[in-house]
Amino acid sequence: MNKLSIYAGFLASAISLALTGCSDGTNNTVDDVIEDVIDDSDDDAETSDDSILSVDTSLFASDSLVSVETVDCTLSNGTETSCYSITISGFPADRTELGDFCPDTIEATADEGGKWFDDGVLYDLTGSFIENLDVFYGDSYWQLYDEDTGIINITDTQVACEAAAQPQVEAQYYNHCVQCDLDYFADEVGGGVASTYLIPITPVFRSSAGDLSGNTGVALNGVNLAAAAPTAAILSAYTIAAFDDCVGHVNPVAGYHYHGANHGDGDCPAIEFEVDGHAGMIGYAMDGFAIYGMLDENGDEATDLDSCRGQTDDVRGYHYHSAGPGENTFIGCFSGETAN
Amino acid sequence: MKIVKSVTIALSLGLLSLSVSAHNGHGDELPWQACADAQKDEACQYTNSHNDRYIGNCKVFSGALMCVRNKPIVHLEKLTLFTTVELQSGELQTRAPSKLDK
Repeated sequence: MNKLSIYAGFLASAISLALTGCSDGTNNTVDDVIEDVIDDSDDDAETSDDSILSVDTSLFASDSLVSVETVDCTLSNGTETSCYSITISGFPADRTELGDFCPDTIEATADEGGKWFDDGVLYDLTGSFIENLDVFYGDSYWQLYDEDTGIINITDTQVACEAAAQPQVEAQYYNHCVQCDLDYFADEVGGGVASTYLIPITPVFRSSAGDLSGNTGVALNGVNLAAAAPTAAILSAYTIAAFDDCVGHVNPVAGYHYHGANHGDGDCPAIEFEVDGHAGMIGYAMDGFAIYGMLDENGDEATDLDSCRGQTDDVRGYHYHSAGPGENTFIGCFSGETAN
Repeated sequence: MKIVKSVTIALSLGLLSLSVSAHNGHGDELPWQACADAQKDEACQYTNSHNDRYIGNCKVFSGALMCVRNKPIVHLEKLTLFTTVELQSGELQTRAPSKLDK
């Protein structure tokens, strides 16, 4: 029996059992489990003003900041208040170099390439992954490498980068692995693309959750937490906008930015857990509430997140937990007002 | 025959996903498809090719609705009886975890 048939048989068994129920002597079915999960929902989580903590700019890595100023600002509900105007360097303070992004050949290992995500899963961008994109996406037009040499098509010039790292990919760059050198756009060689974030010093809860548009927030290491990557446009041009192990990549507008949180994996530095075992803090959302990692030190995820992926505890007040590294978002919405 | 190594369910499903992915609609579509006919904030869920179920709500991203999970991922394969093992001969065999040689 070949491997494929075994795997196919295994899948059939798995699906059959998953759909029909009992596996361990209990009568749990998939629907039972899901029902249990749903029953844990707590969308009425505490969101009183007592649960609000002000933004602490001392938490940012000193190397990540260009400047921090206190300025007058108007929030999305019209409230006049004070905000921090935080300008970051755009280069991660906890790293000395970016990448790897695209693997060079179809022989490349996970150490030689970055990441790509799909349907919630973060994959190692190995040479084999690139080689099998036609199978993965079920479309024989995918061909990102030279069949004779195994060399992968990479946007390795600024012209190619600018033509491919945008929603309307130029046709000549179809079937390319897209990566851009940050030095093309950096304010100085070896630096980042500086950008400024206006964040309310003291968050203000919204009466109804706010939609995500534009930036989601800013990381404590000085990197933009971006909105969802436009994967439909990327894939429709038969391109892979390769991420590095931190689920970050470079484009001409934002410079280096994150589309997910994957700290502690591969070349991506870990973030320390809190002293009580809670996930470590990644950064601040644009509404001023803190964003923490997805899992605590035991590898568990909170079961009482609201639909924005927020919760409240006595230590951290109201805060968010990032989604998984392959889910193309950090949070679901803004629970607080953002600055106009 | 001595069993050399057991292959985890997760790994099996990972390999499996590559071999049958065309039938599972890769293309980062599922989070968006899960909200295709939904309203903002409506409950949603999807199951990917790794047999992981994501449960959350439809949220707006640049004008489109995407399903954003707010419950822990449900790993459906944990409910199955079988895993895949690799025999010393290199052959793979599917069997119940309780019968794995120690």
